[in-house]
Order: sequence, then structure tokens, then C-alpha cells
Amino acid sequence: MRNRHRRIQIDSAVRIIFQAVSYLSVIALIAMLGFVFYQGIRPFTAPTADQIQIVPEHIPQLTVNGRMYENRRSFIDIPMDAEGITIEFEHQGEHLVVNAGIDPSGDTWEEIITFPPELHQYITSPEAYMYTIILPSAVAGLEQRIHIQIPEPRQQVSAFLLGSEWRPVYRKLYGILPMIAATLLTTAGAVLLGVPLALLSSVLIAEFLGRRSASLVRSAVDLLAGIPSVVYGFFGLMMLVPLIQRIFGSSSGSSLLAAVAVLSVMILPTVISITVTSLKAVPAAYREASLALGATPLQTAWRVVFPAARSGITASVILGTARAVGETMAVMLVAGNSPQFPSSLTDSVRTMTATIALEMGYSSGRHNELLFSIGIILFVIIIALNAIIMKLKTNMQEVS
Amino acid sequence: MKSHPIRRMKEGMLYTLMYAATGIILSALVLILGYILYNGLGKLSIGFIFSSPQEGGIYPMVVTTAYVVITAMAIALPVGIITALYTTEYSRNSPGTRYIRLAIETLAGIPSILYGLFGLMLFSRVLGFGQSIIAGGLTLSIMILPVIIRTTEESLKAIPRSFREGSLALGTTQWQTVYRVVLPSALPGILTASILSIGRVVGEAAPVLLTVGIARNLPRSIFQSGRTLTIHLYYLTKEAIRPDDFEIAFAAAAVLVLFIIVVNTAARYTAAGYKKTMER
Repeated sequence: MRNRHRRIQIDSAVRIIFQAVSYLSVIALIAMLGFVFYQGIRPFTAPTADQIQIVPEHIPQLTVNGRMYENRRSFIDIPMDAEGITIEFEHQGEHLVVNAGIDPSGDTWEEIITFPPELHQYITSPEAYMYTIILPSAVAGLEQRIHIQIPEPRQQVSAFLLGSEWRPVYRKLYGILPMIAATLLTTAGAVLLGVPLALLSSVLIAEFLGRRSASLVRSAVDLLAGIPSVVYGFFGLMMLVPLIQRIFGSSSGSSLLAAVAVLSVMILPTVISITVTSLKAVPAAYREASLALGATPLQTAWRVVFPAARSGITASVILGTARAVGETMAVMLVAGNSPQFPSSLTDSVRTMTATIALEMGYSSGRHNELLFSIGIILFVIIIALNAIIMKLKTNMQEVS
Repeated sequence: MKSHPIRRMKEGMLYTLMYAATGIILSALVLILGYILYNGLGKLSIGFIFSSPQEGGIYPMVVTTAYVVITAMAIALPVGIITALYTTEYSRNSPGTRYIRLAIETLAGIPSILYGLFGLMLFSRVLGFGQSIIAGGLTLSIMILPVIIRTTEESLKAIPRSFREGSLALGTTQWQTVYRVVLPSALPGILTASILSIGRVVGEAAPVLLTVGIARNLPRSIFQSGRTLTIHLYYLTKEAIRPDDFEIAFAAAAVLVLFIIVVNTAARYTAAGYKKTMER
């Protein structure tokens, strides 16, 4: 009796553990959305910092707005609402005073901070949001420098989505419209090229081929699905890119066209396997009725079975589209990766996914956060496509 | 009644188109595999796989890939099997199960680069693993969960109800039935799931690039960065300077392709195996 009691205890414990573990996938999904959204939304909600930051170099002692710093290696913070910046220090035995005005309401970074004219000759190569004052020295390499970093303001959503220039490092321009265009164009091209092929072949596999040849073709399609995307990209780079270069005489074959060609092969397995499954799911009675009315097998396949499997086929095309949108490595290897609007099929393009993969390694600060914002856009596209598929599935269940 | 000649011609054209499309797809496969194997097999040898990059080999990359596979599988396999058991054996139609299914469906559709972003954020930065094999393994384990859960679910659903009823009628608890009757019959399905997900992990590149990194050394533990075969192939083609590099790249691609062929064949056999057992 006691033994039985223990068995039941174990049974209910296992049940609870299983339930808890099963929810891990829900938690993972929510965490994924949470982390990417949290990081990706930050550039649009706040400036990178609340202070102007000053870094001295080779200046042992300096006074900033009345406070003295000795051997300072890290940032000296000045609040944005300060009236100005006054930096005093010794330069070649002279007492130097650098003055700058702050206007926190300035629209561009040149307006936020202003320097007196006599200082302009010492300000070298100002980058966006970053000034460096270099004072000459007798010994090269020991010049006294003052770096002044202005915080980047809130990123405008419209400037991000509709901006046509992506120069994240020096000019801090973050417009991703060329990347959105590239993703849309490569995806549309792949769907236009790949889907007709896949559908024609699926009908053949599902309705006309015998058991053995159908299974042979399907295993070939499975193999196509298993080939790693890097291998697709490698093949495209070694084979297609030189071919395109030769045929079109362009300077580099890495192009929109190469990306479209590789992607159209990569989406085939997704479209074919789901289309074949949904064609096979059409009841035999449909075929029998059509054939009994005197329709040819071909008419039956295309006019009766194909429309009956419509929602499954639509779902397969949408899944293929999602695959093309999300593909990274293959596109990165063959598309050339210039963030520009393509004017012809042989122009180099860079997709959203490629931007994330290419720049994640070296980006920092706002640039890095904005790569997560690109991730949000991808998420939104994929979730919208998924929602359409879910809708189709409920429709399918209602029909059958 | 003879059919109209124009219609016959149309039908003939459509047949031609269907065969042509299938022909194009098959020749694309043959072209890709043939091109890579033809150019890569010459360099390929046991020595190539087991020597360091300085000697023109890929040993550290093979080891890193193996570590990533082991880490990912060690996490995803138990979680995946348990989830599949829960959604098919314990609670088929509860609201909770519906959420779990929805989550799995959504996870399956998310592009791998987004897994990379998430893994980089959570495992590398927040949990402090940095770019390491463990961070990549954790990331990929979430990515392959849907594959494992779905394939296992399918094999669980193929088990006849009479197996479970027979066992329960003998007075066993549900856990005993699951452990002694259901799981053993689902083993071939679970094996198929494992093989498919190993193939997926080995071939994955984008999330690995973000989470595991690109270090070329032999990793000493799973807390170090490394470079998987796919990333090695990517960097070889991107940074190729010497003609040797392309040769090595072809050979590395051939290794990947051969591995995928083996995985696909193995998965077909195990899948055919469990279908046959169930039909008996």
C-alpha cells in the first residue's frame, strides 16, 4: 500500500515538473521579444547621455568650470543645462582658457556647442557629436588634446525608417531605408523566381509521379533544405558572382541579382514540402469526381486539387517569404553589402539581416542599439507573416 | 470523343513545364553538391580534419563545432522531449498547451539572426558569458527546440492508443506508462529529431557569429570563444588572400556538405524505421 502511495506521489511530482519545463519555450519567446525590444527602443526614447563629456589627454592639471582635476583619465561630465564650458590649463608654460557655449535646444550637433573663432584652427576633423581640440607641441605624439563629446539626441523614428543614408560611425546618420528596400527587393525577386518553380514541381510530385520517383525527388528537396546557408553563399560567391560579372560586364558580380538567385533556390524546399503536404491532404473524392466528369488528370490537378489546397499553398509561399526575409549569411556573401539604393539588378545591396551580422562585432553605443532596432523591424515583419499563416490555419480547420 | 488539338498542345506544354521545373530544381542540387565536392574532395583527408590552421587544417573548428552541438543538444533534448510529452501525453488541449504550441510555432518562424541578437544580449552580456561556446550553445538550444518538439510529438502521436490503455489498465500510474511504454516506442522518433537538430546546429552561422565569436584557437573549455566550421568557411572566403585559402574553403565546404548528406540519410532511415514499427 505504501508503495502505491509513493508511486502516485512521484506521478504528480513528474507532472508538475513537466508542466514547468514545457513553459520554458513560452518564456524563451517572451524573453526574446523583451530583450530585443528593450534594447531596440532605447535610441528612440532618450539621448545617449545627459551630460557633455570631456576627456583631457597629456594635460596633467586642468580646471573645468571652476573645478580642478589632476591626472584625469576618464570623462569629466558637464550637465547639458550648464551655461558654458570654461577649461583652464597650462600650455607650454602659458595659462590658456578655452571657452565654449552650450545651447541644449540646438537642432544639429553644430548648434549645440559653439566655440570662439580663435579656437577654430585647433579643432581638427570634427566628427558628428565629437570635437577634438589639438594644441601643438614640440614633441610629436605628445600634443595636448581635449576631446569633447556631445550626447546624441533622441533618434527620430522617421529619420531611422525613412532616412536614406547609413553612416553610423563618423556622421552618425542612421537611415535604414536602403536596407529595407534591399530586403524587400531580394525577397520579392526570390519569391517571383522560386515560387512558380516550386509550385509546378510540387503538383508534379504530389499528383503525377509514382511512389518511388516522388520519394526520390522529395529526398533531393530535403537535402536542399539541409545545405547550410554559408555553403549556399560560398557556392554563389564562387560560381554565380563571377558568372554575373562576365555576363553583365559589371565591376563586381556581387549584386542584387546574385542574392535573388541564391535566395530563390533556398526557399524552394520550404514551399515545396508544405505545398506537397497540402495537395496530398485534398480528399481523393475530389479527384474521383473530377475524373468521372471527364476532366483529364492535368485538369483535375490544376483546376480541382490545386484550388482546394489553396490555403496550404498560400501558407507555404508566406513561409518561403519569411525564410527569404530572415536569411543572413548567404545574402551577406553574395550581395556586396553597400548600403545604397540599387539602380539596377547588378548593383550591390545590403539587407537588414546582413547589416546586423556585419556591424554587431564592432559597433558600440547608439549604433549598437540601433542594430537591435533593425531586429525589431524584422520581428514585426515575421510576426505579421506568422499571423497570416495562423489565420489561414483556422480557415483550413473550418473548411475541413 | 477526341480531345481538341489545341487543348492537347496546352496540356503537353504544362506537362513540359512541370517536368522542366522539377528538372531545374534537381539540377540546382546536383550543381551545388557537385561543384563543391568536385573542388573540395581533392584536398580533403583525415590529416586535413585533424591538423591546425597553421598546417592548413581545420581541427579547432571541428572541435568548436562539436562543443557547440553537445552544449545545445544537452539543453534542448531534455527540454524538447519533456515539452512534447507534456503537450501530447499530459495535457493535449488545455489553454496552457495552446500557448506552448503558439510559442513553438512562432519560435520556429523566427530568423536565426534574431536568435543571435537575443543570445548576445542575454547570455553574452546580461549573464556575462561573453562570446563563448556556452553562450552559442544556449542560443542554439532555443533555436532547435521547435524541431525537437515537433518531431518528437509526431512520433508520440503515431503510437497507438491501445499501448497506453493496455498499460494503464494494468494499474500503472501515468508516469510509469510514459516512462516504460510510450518513451521506448518513441525512441526512433526522438533519434530522428536529434539527428535533424544536430544537422541544423552544425550548419547554422549567423547566431554563432554573434555569440560564439571568431577565435581561431583550439578552445580549452566551453567558456571560451571559438570558431565553428561555418564561420571558418565564411571568413576564409571573405579574407582569402592566398590561393590556398580557397582550396581550404572548398574542403571545409565539402566537409559540411558530406556531413549534411550523412545526417539526411540517417534521418530518413530512422524515420522510415519508426513508421514501419508503428504499422506492424
